[in-house]
Amino acid sequence: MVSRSTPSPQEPERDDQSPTGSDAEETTTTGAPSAERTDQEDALLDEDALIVDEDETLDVEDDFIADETADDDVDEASEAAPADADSADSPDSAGRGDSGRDDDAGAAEDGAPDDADSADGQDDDAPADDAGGAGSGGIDDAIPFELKEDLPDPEDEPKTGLVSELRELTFNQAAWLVSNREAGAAARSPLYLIPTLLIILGVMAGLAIGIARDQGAGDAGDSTLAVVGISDEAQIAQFEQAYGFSVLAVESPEAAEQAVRAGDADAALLPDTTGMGAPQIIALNEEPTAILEAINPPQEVIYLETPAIGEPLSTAFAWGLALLLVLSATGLGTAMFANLLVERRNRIGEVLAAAVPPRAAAWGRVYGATALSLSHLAIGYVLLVLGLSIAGRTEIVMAALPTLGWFAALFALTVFLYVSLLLASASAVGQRARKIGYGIVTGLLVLASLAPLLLERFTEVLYWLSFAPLTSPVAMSLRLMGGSAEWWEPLIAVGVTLVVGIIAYLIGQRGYLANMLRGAGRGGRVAVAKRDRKAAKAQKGKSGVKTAAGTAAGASAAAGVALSAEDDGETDSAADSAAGQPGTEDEPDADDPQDAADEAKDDAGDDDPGTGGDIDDDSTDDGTDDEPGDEDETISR
Amino acid sequence: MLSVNGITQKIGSRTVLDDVSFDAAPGRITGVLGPRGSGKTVLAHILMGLVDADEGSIELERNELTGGDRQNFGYLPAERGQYPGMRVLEQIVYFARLHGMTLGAAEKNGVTLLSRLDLADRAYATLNQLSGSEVARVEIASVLAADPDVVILDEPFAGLDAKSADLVFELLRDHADSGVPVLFLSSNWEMTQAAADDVIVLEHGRILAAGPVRELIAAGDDYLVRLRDAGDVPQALDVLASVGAEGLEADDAEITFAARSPEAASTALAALLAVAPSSVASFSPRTKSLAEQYREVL
Repeated sequence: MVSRSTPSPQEPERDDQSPTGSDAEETTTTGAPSAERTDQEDALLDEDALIVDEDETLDVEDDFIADETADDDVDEASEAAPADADSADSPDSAGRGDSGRDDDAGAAEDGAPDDADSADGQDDDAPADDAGGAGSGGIDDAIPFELKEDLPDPEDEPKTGLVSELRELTFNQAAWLVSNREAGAAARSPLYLIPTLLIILGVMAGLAIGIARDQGAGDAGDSTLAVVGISDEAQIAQFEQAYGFSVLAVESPEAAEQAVRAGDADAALLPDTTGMGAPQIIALNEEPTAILEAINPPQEVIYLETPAIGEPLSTAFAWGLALLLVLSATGLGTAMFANLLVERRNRIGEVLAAAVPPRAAAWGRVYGATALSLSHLAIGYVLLVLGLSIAGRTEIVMAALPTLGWFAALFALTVFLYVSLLLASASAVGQRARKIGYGIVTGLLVLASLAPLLLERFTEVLYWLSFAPLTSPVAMSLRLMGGSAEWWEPLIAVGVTLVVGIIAYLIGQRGYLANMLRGAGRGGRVAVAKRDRKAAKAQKGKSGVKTAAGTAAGASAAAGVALSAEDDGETDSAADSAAGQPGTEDEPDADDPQDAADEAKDDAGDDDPGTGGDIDDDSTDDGTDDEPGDEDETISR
Repeated sequence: MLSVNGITQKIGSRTVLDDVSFDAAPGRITGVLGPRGSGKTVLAHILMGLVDADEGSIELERNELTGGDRQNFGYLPAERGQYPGMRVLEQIVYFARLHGMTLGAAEKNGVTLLSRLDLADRAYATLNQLSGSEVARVEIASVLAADPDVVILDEPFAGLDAKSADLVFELLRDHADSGVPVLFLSSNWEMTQAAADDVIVLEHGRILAAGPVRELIAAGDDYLVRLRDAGDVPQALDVLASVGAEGLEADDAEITFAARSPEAASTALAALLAVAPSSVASFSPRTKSLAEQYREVL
C-alpha cells in the first residue's frame, strides 16, 4: 500500500559510527585490496590479510587520534550550523565517519551543511559491502554456503527495527483472536475460577452423599435372586448360605423375568439354554450390586428396561445441572460484560473496530465465553462419570447418558443466548440501563433454571418449560430422567433455543456495532434527549451571531497558510464554540446524582498530566467530554 | 501520501468538520492541532473509517480508502486504554495480531519496541502495575507493533514525561523515515511543535492554518534587536520610532518591534546601524510559538 524507503546505503547507521569502532578503519584499509582479489584468494589470504590489516589499522587509529581534536571542532561547528542536512547525514556523523581523512576534517571545518553532505559523498566511493569490514567478509567466504546463516543485511533493515510479516485476516481468524483473548482473560478471572471450584466441590459432594445414601438402599434391595431350575430346599439353603442373599426358585426363564418385573426379585439367573455358554443375569433397570459382588466371575447384566434414574436421584441430578448452568453462565457472562465495559471506557472498541470487522469482534466474544463454559460442563461430567464409575454405579451413568447429552446441547445454546443478551445489555446507552439490563438478564437465567425444579410436580407446566428457552435445559433433563419425553422433544427444545439465541445474538450484535464508539471516557453515557436540548441551545445562540462561510478553511498543508486574525472573523463561533463551553453541552443533570457522579468521574479521567502546553483554558476544559464524535457515531462497516 | 479531501461532517445540526483538506506525506510527521472540541477525534474516526464522512474522501496513494484498506493502519484513540489486567507484551502482541501480524513477528516487534521505549523489564507486568508514563509508552508500542502502513495517533502525548516523549518522538521519526505517513492529533501545542514537521491547526472544525512548522512559527511580523549595552536602548528606541517601527518593547538590552514588511524591517536596521553601528549585537525576526500565535489570533 505504502511504498517504504529503506535506509540508503550512504546513510550509515548511528551504531556503526563509533569513533573507536574498527569498522570504519577496516573499510578504509582493506576495502580496495579485497575488491581486486578473487574469492579464492580472499579465502586463502584471509588470515594474513587480517594480520596486515591489524597493523594498518593501528596506523589509521593513530591518524584518527591525531585528527580527533580537529573533528571535535568540526562537530561543534557543524552542530551550530542550521540542520538542513538529513539526520543520518548530520555533520557530526560525517565528521566521525571520515575521521581518517585530513581533507574531510578540512571540509567539515567549514561547518556548512552542504559540506557535510559532500563529506558524506566521499563515503559513497567506498563499496557499501565493505562497511562491515573486509575481514569479516573473508570469514564469511570461508564458511561453506550450506552452513551460512541467512542473515539480513543490516543496511537493509528499517530504522524502526521492526519486522513486517502480515497476512490478510479472515472473519474467522479475527473472531478467533478476539475469542481467544476473551476466553483467556476470563479463564484467569475469579469469575471463572470460583464457579469452577464450586462445580468441582458440588459434584464431589453430591457424589459422596448420593452414593452413601444409595449404598444403604442397594444393600437392602439387591438381596433376592430368582434362580431357574432349583427346586430342592436344601439346594436353595446351600445357595443362600454360600452367597449371602435370598434365592427365589422359579421354574422357567419367563417366570424369572416375571419375578424381576414384579419386583419379587432384584435379578434373575438364567441358565444358558444351549448349555454352551455361561448363565445370564437379568435385572429390571438397576444394577444388582450385591448380587454381582457375590457372583464370581462378575457378569454383565441384561436390563429388561432401559435404565432410568429414579425420583430422588433425578431431582438431585437436576439440581446439580441447574447449578452448573447458573454458575457457569453467570460467571462467564459477567466476565464478558465487565470486559465490554472496560473496552468502552478505554476506547479499546475503537482499536478493535479499526483493526478487525466489528462483527467478528462481537462474534468472537460471544463465542469465546460460550466455548469456555463448555469447560465447566466437561469438568462436571468427567467428575460425575468418574465418581459413579469408581463407586460401581455405572448403571446410573448409562441411565443418565441421554440426559447428559441433551443437557450439553441445551446448556451450550442457553449460555450462548444468555451471553448474547448480555452483549445487548452492555451496549445499552447509559450506565443505569446497562445495570438494569444485566440484572434482568441474569435474574431471568437464575429463575428460569430453578423454575423447573420448583414446578416439577406440575406435569403440564414442566412440559411447556422443557421447550422454553432458558428453562429447557433443566426442565427437559427432568423429563428425560423421568422417562416422559419422546426422543424428538429435546430436538425441538434445542431448535427453539437455537433460534431464540440467534435472534438475541443479532440484537446484541446490532447494539454492539451501534454503540461501540459511544461513551468512551464517560462510561457510555450519551443522552439523546440532552443532545437535542443542547442543539436547541446552540441554535438559540447562533441566531444572535453573524456567520460567514469559511473560505480559507480548506487550506492545504502545502499552502503554508499562517495563523491569521482574519480567520477568526470567519469562524462560525457560536454553534461551534458550544462544543467547548461549559454548560452548553453535556451539562450534568442537576436532578440526576448518577449523572453528576459520572460527570465528576469523566472530568477526573480527562485530566491530562502530560499536556502542560495545552491551550485549553478552564472554559474549554469542561468540553473535554464534548468531542463531537462521542455523540452520535456508529460504526460504518 | 494520505490525502484528506474536503471532509465535512455534521452531527445533528452542528458542523463538526467543515471542508477539511490536507495531506500527510510519507516520511513526515503531520500534527493536527486544536483545542478540545475542535473536531480532532471525529477526524480521527473518519480517517480510520469508523465513521463515514458526510462529504469528502480519504485517499492513500491517490486511491480512495475502503474499510479493508485500513487493516494495517496503526491507530491510537484518544483517552486510549488497554486491558488493565493484561500483561504488557501479551497486549502488544494481541493488538499486532489483530492487524494480521504473525505471532512470531508480533512478539519480536513487541520486544523490540519495549526495549526502545525503555520498558524491557516491564514486559510481563500487567498494565495496572505500571506508571502513567509507562502505560502511555505501552500504548504507543501497541500501535506500532504491527509496523503499520499509516500511523494515526489521537492525543499521543497524554501521560508522557519529557524523557518518554523523547523516546516516542524518536520512534515516530524512525517510522516516518521508513516512508510511513505519521499523523497525530493533539491539543498540546508545545509537544506538537517539537514533534511535527507539518501542522494543521483546527478550530471549530475548520483549518485555521496549515504548513510546515518552521514556516508557521516564523510567520510573525515581529523583529528582535539585541544591543550590546542596555544603555543604548533609549537611543535605539528613538531611532526605531523615527522610522515607523510599531509595538516597541524593551527588555533589558533587547528591543522587540513590529514591522509591516521585511523592507520596513531592513530600513529600521539600516537606521540603527547608521546611528550606532557598534551597539547592535544581533537583529532577527522574532519567532513565535504556535501557541503564542494561536492565543493572539483568538
